This record gives sequence, structure tokens and C-alpha cells, in this order.
Amino acid sequence: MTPLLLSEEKRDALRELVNIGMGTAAAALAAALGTFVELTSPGLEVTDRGSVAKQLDTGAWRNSEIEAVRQPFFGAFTGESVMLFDRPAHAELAGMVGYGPESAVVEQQEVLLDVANVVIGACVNGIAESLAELVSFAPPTRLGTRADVRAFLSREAVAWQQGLIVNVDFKLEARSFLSRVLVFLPEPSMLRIDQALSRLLDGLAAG
Amino acid sequence: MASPQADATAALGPAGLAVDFLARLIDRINVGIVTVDADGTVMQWNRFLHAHTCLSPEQVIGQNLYDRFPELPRAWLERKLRSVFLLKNFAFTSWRQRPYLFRFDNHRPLTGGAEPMRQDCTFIPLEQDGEVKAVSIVITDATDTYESQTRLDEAVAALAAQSERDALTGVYNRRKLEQVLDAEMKRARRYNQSLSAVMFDIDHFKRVNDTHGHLVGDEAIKHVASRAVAILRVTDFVARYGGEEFVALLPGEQIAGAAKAAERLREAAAKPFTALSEVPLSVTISAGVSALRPDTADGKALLAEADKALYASKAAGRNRVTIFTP
Repeated sequence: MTPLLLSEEKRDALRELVNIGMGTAAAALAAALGTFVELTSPGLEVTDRGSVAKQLDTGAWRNSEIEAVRQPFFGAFTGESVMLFDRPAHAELAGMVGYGPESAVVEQQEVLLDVANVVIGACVNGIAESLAELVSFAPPTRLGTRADVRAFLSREAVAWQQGLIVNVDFKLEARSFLSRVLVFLPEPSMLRIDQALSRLLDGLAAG
Repeated sequence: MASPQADATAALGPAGLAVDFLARLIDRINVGIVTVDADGTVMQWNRFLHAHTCLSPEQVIGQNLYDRFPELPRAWLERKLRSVFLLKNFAFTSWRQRPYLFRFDNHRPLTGGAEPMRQDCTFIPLEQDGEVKAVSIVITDATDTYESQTRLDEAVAALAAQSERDALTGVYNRRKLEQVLDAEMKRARRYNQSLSAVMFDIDHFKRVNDTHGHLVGDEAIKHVASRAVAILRVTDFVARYGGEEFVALLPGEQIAGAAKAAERLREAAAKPFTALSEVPLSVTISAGVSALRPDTADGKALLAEADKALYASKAAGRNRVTIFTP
């Protein structure tokens, strides 16, 4: 395993940036959907590819049915983000935006695409904007279920070796779901984030 | 002397020209662009949309989008737009979830059939002084992607269907049987329902092959398979287990009912059939029947019991049905 990029101090800083982004996203989602939404990110890890796959087979995710959405981004940082939802999230989220509990599968997928677009946007933009960098997004698409995620993670010719795992606690009114945002960056982008974080932290220290 | 028009263009200067070109580009680009303000009033309507709706910018701009196009999915679109105004974030829709926003004919009137154009949409927030003042909806034609995806899906479905069928008889193959057997066992146990299995094979099959040749042997196998499909219910499951041996799973059927079905099958299989335009030929089958009990270990055990009963039918002189007794 290559040594992890980003020092502990920088990871802390990144965690803060993501949380600020999540706060903005939650407020905006709540306003857009007319319901109480809380998004918090209790954890952010920098890890390599193999560990991501392993994590999906442990803990609360081990037995849950996964539905995943992917969204590429490009610009100052290039990468792909994957948002994972556990099973109860589908129906609940669909219900939340006004589709009935019996809503069609495609409608439920559409809701997940919308929510992932907002949360991934908040997460990646939260980082990019704080670092005064510009990032654009391609449309989100459905990645699929657990098997598809596994295939995605094990693909041989992928550029990224290290990624960010952002755990997101998703609370809607009294209910909460498991969801997780994975941000995968190829090494040059990771280095760019590292440099931008250096500038940010130096600026803070100087100021 | 320059014409008044050239004077006007020259008067724009390089920056003005760039704005002018940009406006033309937006108008003529081969995607649909419609811009609305927070109240849903149309501010921009480009040529692509003009061409597909036969409604000019003059007929649409300044009007409320939903009044002008009552067929739009209003509640959904309003929610989508509202989120872009609030979140200042791009939003997207795909033909995979929502085939189209505006119903347009596809762009190939001669080869495209009657399918409406599939559309991907991007919602772009247009900010001024930190506030989203309008949202542009960019509509791209995704019909080509849709069509190749549809062909791919059909090919995959056909391959999947083939991979679970026996090529000679068209009934399910052994691999599929093993999958279904597990699922049926679980289902029967969960809902406390009956499940029976019938294992049957053609008597003296080697003799049929030796006497009439393998092609006629194949016909005999097809004959028995087609009798089984005809006699059993649609909810029953028939698979070729190997060679001249078959398995039928009868969900919801107790052992006595399964034995009756096996007996009907035995009678039907014994009727003469015509193989390869030769004289009519007949074969007989032997069958063994088993049923799920609380102490049945698994699907394999269920089949093993049917197999034992089948063996008993053979030992007792063939052309008969035997019920497994523990």
C-alpha cells in the first residue's frame, strides 16, 4: 500500500470543509423539499481502493441492500463520486418528495439521483470552493446494486488509487438512513488538494 | 462606402460582436434551450425548440411555461426548478428515468419509428449578485443512446433466457433447476406451503438409440419434454436433468397430487409419436415422486428421494410411478 496522502492536520481541515458543505446542502434540501433534513458527516477517511471494498463488507453495510449513484466531476480536481444508500432510504426518500410508497422503481431512482447530485455537489464543491478552485459536474447516473459497486471498485484500469470516504448521516424528520459518499481522485488531483490545503492552512496561520 | 448594416456590426466592437455571436450560437446550437425565471415565465426559447414545437420565440417568451405547455409534468418540474433556484446547483434528468420533458418526434422521420425523442436535461442556475435569477433548461437528444441501450438490453435478455434453457427441448436446464430448487424450498418453508418433485426418465432409452439411431432418440426426449410441459401447470417447473432424465417441481402440490400428475404424464408419454417422418413410435417413462417434509435437509435431499423412488419404479418393472416413503 502506498503511504496515504494528506497529513492528519489536512484531513481535519478537509473534514471541516465537508461539514460546512453538508450544512449548506441540508438547509437547501430542507427548503426545497419542505421537510426537516439534517446531513452530518461524522467521519472522513482517506483510504486506498482495496479498503473501500472491504468496508462495504463490514459493519452496518454488510447486510444492507445497496443502491448506488455515481457522478463524475472535472476541473481543478478530476474524479468520480459514488453515493451509497441503504434499502430503506429508497422508499423513504421517494415518499418524502411526494411519490407514494408504491412509487415506480424509476421514480425512486430519480429521487436518489437528485439527492446524490445535491449531496455530492455539496461535498465536492464544499472542498473546491473553500480552496478557491473550480469544479464542474457531469450528470449523475445509476451505478446499480452491491454487485455493480463491487465491479466498479475492482475494475483493473482505474486511475485512482486513493479516495475519500465521507460518511453521511442522513436524517429526515424522525428517521435516519445510512448513506455514504465515496470520492475517488487520481493521484494528481489528490496532490492538488494537498497543495491547496497547504495554502489554506498557511493563510490561516499567517492571518 | 460601407452599408448601414456593416456600420452597425462594426459599431458593436469586438466585445459587442462576441455577445452577438454568443446569442446566435445559443439560438442555433443543436440542443434545446429554454430559460425561465422564478415565476415560470419564459425568457429564452431557442431555434431547436422552435423547430420541434413549431412555436416561435414570439409565441412563447413572456408567457408562463405551464400555461403554454399544460402537458408538462408540472408538479415535478416545479420542484426540480425550485431546488435549482434554492441550491444554486446544476440539476440533471436522464431519459433512463424520465423519457422526455417535451414530447417531440424523434429526428429521423423515416427510420426512427413512432418513438418520441428521448431527452437528457441539464438545469443551469443563472446567478446575478449572488442570487439565482433564472434557470436554463438544456435539452439534448438522447434517442441514439436509448436505441442502442434498448438493443443491448434485448440481446442480454435473450442470452439470459438461452442460458437457462436446454437447447434440444426448450425446457429449463439443470443449472436453472438448481437455482429454482433453492428458491422454491425457501419459499415453501417461509409460507408453510407444499412442494413436490417428480423425477422421470425414458425406459430403455439406450435400446431406442441402438435400434433407431440417436436422432430418433433426440425426438423421443423432445416428445417426453413436450408432454410434460403440456400436462403440468404453468406454475410447475420442468427441467432436463441430463440425458433422458427430467425433473419437475410442483410448488403448492402435496405428494398425492404430484403422484396423480406424474401418472397423467406417464400415460401421455406412452402415446405414440412420429419421429423423423417414420412410422409412429412409442416409449414409456418411469417416475419417482417426493415431497418436502419438515425434516428434508435441502433441495438435493428432495431430489435424492425422488431419485430413489424412480429407482424403485425401474426395479418394479418400469412404466410406473412410485411415491417415496421415508
